[in-house]
Amino acid sequence: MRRSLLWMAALLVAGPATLAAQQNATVRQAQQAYDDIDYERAAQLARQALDQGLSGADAVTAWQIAAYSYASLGMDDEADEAFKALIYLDPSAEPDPLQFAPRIISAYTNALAAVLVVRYPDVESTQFVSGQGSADITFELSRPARARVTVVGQSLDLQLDEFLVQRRGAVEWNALDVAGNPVPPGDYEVIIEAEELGNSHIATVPIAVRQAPVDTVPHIDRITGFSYLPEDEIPARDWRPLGVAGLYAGLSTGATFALSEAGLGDNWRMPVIAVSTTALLTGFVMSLKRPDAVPVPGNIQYNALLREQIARRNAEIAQENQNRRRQVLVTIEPREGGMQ
Amino acid sequence: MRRTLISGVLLACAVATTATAQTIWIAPAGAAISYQERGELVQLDGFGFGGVAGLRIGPLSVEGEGYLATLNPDDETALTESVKFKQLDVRLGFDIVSAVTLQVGMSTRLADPEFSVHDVGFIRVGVKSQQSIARIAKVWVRGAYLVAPKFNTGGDAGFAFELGLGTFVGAPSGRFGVLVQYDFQRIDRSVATEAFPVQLMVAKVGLQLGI
Repeated sequence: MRRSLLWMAALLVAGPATLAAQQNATVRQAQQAYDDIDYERAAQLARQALDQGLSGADAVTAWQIAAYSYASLGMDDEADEAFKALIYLDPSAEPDPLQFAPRIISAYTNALAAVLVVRYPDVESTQFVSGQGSADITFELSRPARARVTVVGQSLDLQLDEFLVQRRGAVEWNALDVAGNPVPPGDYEVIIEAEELGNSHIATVPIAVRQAPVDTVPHIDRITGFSYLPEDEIPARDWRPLGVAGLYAGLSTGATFALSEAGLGDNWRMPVIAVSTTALLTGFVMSLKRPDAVPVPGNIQYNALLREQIARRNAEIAQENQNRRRQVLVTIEPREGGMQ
Repeated sequence: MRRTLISGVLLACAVATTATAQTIWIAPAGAAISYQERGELVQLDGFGFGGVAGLRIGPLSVEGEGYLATLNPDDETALTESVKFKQLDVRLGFDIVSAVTLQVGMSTRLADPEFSVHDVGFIRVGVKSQQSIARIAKVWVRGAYLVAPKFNTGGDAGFAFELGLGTFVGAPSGRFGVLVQYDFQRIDRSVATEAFPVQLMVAKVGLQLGI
């Protein structure tokens, strides 16, 4: 008795939250009766509404009210009939075990096991380079059966697979036609057909296939983690210029003085000394000035290797881009309108 | 003698005109000359104008130098009037190792009035060493043995040599710069057994332009 009260209280909360908004007045009345825990009236009004020839969301809601009400009233046969009708109408309209009474869940499960339907058909929204990826197509069957998955549209009628499915099934589609070429862009339908001992059920997922050029890879001018090194460096200041100038000037001037003929006068000496002094002064100034940069062979070799690596990588990128320009980027996504 | 001078000029021109993508330089220069010879003692000093030109093709090089100068006798000289000098030097070089060049060449010097001093011509064989002491500066020294000098006044030469020192400071490319150099020459001329040495010093300061 106490458990029944608890379940009834739970249903008061769960009912309005789980059923969709209704357009049909009779369905709204049935919904109100269900919310008021008047299951007999709710079932009666739902039946009455269904007799009016409902369709779409109202029909699903009416069958849900009828099925949940019959199950709550313990009218198992009527509940089974209503659940089967609901399952055929909307295989995915499954009562949440956390919100509905076990009696309802049990009745739904029994009805589901008695029919063959394709549930939760889905095509993954994805994007890939043609020939290098695929889209996942998934579904569930209410009971073990043979499933056949076909893609149709844009003059294509391609059976992807046919296999025995225990409960969940999955197929990959690479968006290529029989010849291995990318299928043309446009609207397609993925048809999942389940068949078992004369029973069959078909679910359809409308999808759109779009194509775009594949992005090319930009060329590089550096390799991460490796940077060019300076190819020359300023050495420490030294007195080599003065030393060389002093050596040359001393050698030349000394030899000139030593080898000159003493008896022929000395008018020649002043210009010789002036030129030698100029050489010495030049060497002295060059020793004092900031030394000239000198090449660093190791760094030059390193930079050459780095440039070679970058050039090699860019050659590979150019080759890759050449291939990419021949490829297409395929986008597959379910179309508006959902699954049928 | 004049034939030697013309041959030298033609050789320098021929090498220069066949140059294509090589280093060529020319340096118009002022020259200070000091000339001495013994016999009747001659001491001449003066200034002139000339130039230095060169061409380098890999390890090969050719240099030509020349000047025209008017030299005046000093008080102790037997000469009473000034003498005009024309001199041309040609040096062909080959780099035997880094910074060392083997040079062979020829030289001729003419004096006007004729026989006022000796005209002389000779062949030279020598070595030049050049070092860059900075990107913008280089120094060189050279020495050569003078082979078989010939004088228009006769006589023979025994020991004969020349020594030189030069400095260049300018753009790293060598397109322009200042050139300072001297060459000292001594020829031990003798007639019969008596020595009449000849000495010449030529100092040049020039503005070098290169291509």
